[in-house]
Amino acid sequence: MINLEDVTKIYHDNVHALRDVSFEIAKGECCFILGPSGAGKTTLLKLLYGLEQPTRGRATLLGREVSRLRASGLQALRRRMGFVFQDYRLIDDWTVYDNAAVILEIQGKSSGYIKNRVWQMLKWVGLQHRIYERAGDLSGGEKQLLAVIRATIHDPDIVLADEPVGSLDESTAMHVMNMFYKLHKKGVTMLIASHREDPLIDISRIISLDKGMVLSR
Amino acid sequence: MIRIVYILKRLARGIRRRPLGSLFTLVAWWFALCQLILVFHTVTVAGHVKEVRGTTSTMIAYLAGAPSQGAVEEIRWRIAAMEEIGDVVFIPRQAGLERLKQWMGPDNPLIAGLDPGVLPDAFEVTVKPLFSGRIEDIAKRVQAIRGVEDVRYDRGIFGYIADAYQSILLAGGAVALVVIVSLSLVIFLSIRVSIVSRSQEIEVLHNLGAQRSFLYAPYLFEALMYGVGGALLAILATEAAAAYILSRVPILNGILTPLGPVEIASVVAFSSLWSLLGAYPAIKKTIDG
Repeated sequence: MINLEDVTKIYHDNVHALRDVSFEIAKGECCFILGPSGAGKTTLLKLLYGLEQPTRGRATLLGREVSRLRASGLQALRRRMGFVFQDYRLIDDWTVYDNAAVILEIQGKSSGYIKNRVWQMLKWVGLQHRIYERAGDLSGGEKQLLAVIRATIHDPDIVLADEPVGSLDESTAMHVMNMFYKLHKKGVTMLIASHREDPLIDISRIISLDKGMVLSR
Repeated sequence: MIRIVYILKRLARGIRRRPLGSLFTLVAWWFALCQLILVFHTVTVAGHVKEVRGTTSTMIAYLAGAPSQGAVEEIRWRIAAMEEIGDVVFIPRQAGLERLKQWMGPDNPLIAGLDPGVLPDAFEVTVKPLFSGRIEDIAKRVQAIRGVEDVRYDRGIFGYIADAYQSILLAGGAVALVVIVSLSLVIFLSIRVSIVSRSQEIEVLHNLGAQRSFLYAPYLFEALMYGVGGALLAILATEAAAAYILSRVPILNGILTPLGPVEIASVVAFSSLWSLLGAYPAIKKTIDG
């Protein structure tokens, strides 16, 4: 489902973010990419999401090589995925409801389905009482929960998460990781980047990354 | 399938974000379209005036020979009896010469030493304003009265307008061109500002895999709103002005004509289409880079 072959990413000034990274993640697998800051975790996820282009090598998702996709193909691929950004990337002046619902609107779901689904998801994470508040007014933890909802509300095939619990207190982090665990049990393929040594949940696989290189798979 | 309600919701959100900007754009669009409709009316009026053969309210009826006092009174009575005539003033030949001297200057060599009886006696005939468009017909009927030798009139301001039709047409075309270019700039810049002010939203939607149609739709609707709204407001304003002018200047009846259904539909269609054509490059350039 996710396949990287000798992927190298070099930024300006000859900075090697990734060096010959290769691994494969099967359908339904949940994988943690662990490593310190600057290890190349974010770059790896951005390559898979089509936000960056590899300097060398191939990144393939759902059987399609990401860097070779046209704009419309890439957008179609993204609609089958969920991405939890490190900086949340919520639309600050939209309400919690609108932020959660936007991907379903993009997918053209019916109004009734969207209302039910958003309410169900917000209730699941305990954000239902803030449904009509601006996303910009939420606390860091609440923003993270909302970002996770937005990435998973449309039942994606793959979820990519970049430091999803990095800025959260222990109990909220546990809550978020439990959400991922439940999604994993539903069969969603997941790739979660984190600088923590303890993944908090029992997951199938860990890939260690440091200075752009894979240390262990 | 993108829901229209959702697009309108995003459109409303965009307007709430910059209400004054949206209002100014609508006012600018309205104002420019008013200019365009006024140019249309000007050219149409000039065209109609061209078709009106005699359009002044006074004429001079020159009398044959040296009529007696009784004959003059009878001719006056016959002219005044016509329902279109408002006033008839007798101008004896001496008074006519005095008028000529005043116009040309008392020392003008062309009139110095002229025989006081060189000009014929005449009537200055004033036509009622309501009938000034039919002066050619009235002049023929006055000339048919026994004792009247010749009738002269000019076409007044309408005549000048009719003669300047080609120039008015050219000037109208030039003004219309300037207005159309202004409309393009107004919509291009306004939509661009609207998108730039929501760049975070666009970036996030792009990252979530939003289709081009999803990204474009609210801004195309916004442009369409200016196009349709501005056109309807401009039609209302110009037609109200035209109705007011017609109520004050009845002579313009049949010359200044209100916009018909086809013309109204054309203005709205043109305005809508032009707003979309002006907005599309702004949307494409700003969203797609």
